[in-house]
Amino acid sequence: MKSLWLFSAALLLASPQMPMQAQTQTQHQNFRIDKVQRSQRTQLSDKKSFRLSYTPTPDPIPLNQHFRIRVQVQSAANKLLDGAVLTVDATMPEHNHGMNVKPKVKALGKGVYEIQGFLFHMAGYWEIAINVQHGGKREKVIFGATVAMKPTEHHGNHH
Amino acid sequence: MSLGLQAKALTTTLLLGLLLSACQPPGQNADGSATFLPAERELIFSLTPLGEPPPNPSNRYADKADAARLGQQLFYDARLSGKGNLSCASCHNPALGWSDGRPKAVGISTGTRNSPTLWNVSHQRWLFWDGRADSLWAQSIQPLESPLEMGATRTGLYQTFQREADLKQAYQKVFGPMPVSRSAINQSTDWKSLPEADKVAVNRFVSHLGKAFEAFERKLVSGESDFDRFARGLRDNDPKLQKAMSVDAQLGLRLFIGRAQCVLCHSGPNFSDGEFHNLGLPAIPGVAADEGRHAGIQAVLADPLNSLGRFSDADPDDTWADKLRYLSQHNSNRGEFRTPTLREVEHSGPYMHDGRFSNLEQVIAFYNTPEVHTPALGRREDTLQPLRLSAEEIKQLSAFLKSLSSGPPAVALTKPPA
Repeated sequence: MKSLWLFSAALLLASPQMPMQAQTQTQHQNFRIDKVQRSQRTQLSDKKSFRLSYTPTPDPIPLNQHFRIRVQVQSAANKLLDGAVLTVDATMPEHNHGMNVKPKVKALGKGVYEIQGFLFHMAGYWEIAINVQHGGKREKVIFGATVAMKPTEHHGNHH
Repeated sequence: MSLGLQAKALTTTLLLGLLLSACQPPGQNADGSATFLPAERELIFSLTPLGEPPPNPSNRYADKADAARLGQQLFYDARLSGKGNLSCASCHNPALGWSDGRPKAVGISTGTRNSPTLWNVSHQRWLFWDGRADSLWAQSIQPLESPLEMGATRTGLYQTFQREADLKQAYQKVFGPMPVSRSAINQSTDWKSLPEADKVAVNRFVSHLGKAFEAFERKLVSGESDFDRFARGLRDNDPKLQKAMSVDAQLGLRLFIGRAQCVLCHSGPNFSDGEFHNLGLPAIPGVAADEGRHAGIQAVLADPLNSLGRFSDADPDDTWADKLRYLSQHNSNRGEFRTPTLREVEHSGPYMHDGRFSNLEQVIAFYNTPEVHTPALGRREDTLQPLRLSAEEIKQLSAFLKSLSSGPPAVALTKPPA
């Protein structure tokens, strides 16, 4: 009985404060992307010849700050691949725009490539598209990442 | 109490609760003020407090008091204009939100764009509506030399400082002896025709002037606004502080971070992503379309005073210049303009890059139905979608924007230093 009272009191307190739904979601998404699948940091290329894994620095990807990623390029059979040519772009498919910067790719050896100069200036879902050219093949990998607005770090530090 | 009575009381409590909740709009307290979900609170706390201006390693004088004092002196000094009748403060009037209250800047002649506010300008990544400068010090030279604005030349400025003893002395106190440029002293000539060594000397001189301007402009930062106080109250669970914002402004805040999606571009504590967007503003008859960022990118890359140039004080590998190092121009940059800060926005109208809207309600009304306009240039970014805001909601958003004011600037900053 006591728990029923508690439940009813909680309902009384909570019900006026519960909006029908949070308004923070993008309202105008008119197509579907499997964001969960694309958010995996290891992906096979579209024709399944390459397996790419990436790690951003900083991690998670910050809003409106430059970041870089390290990409490990392997064959589907997990052989590390040097000598690949990577071309990169990133877009917000729900907003139909991309970055205002052009990242640069640097090979570090042992199948690892560093891509510097990313900047995601808007919060939300981004896709990093990497074209890989190696051994006569040219295939594409797409990584999805959601960038969040974080509370400021300095509390009460106003002028 | 018997079980029967308890059940009756419980039923009454539940019914009362449902009745009360039905009487109040969702997300509002009994007094009409807004309640915010945890996700909404995160967004609110990403917008406050403003904090200190970010460091600028390309200007070693950026936070030096004597440079700021010189910058303030020069800001109000009409001798820096070609005819001696205009100063920076002519278009960036502290009493008019560090702007001029006009749709378009008026110096020697009428310009093509609105004078942007200098409030919190040190928090911006790029300067000018088209971002054609990447630091405040590089930016501040351009209006001095613009034939539409102050009409000076960098060679002429060098000569003025050589001639006017007080200016020369003030300069040398901060930067040491003026760089030597004999031809600039002796000839009334255009900078472009100077020998290379003299060009460099004059550029060194004007870059110093710019660095002094920046040191002063870094002081033009907002105080705590009603919104900041409200957010502090929300964070500290202090109901009294939460009353700093009216109910209308609180509901406007919910729209700002929610359905109206303003926060997508007006993000961070300066309410600007520091980047550029094509809003799809329609053409104004008789006015040429403005390339905006597309031309700005070419200009900043070619600017000898940019952060990768020889006049920058940053280490060559400093990541501060990454914004320039990785900058690239796209067709989509046509018709894009920089996201302005919204702090103090109530006092910095008219609005948009060409000052076409005289009040905030007109601005919001444009964002409410962007789809009815044909962009003057390029393509409207898909971020802008019809909002379907009611007249009441437009009023609430406007009330929120007005809660971002913090009062007039400190009197000591509104005139030449004593």
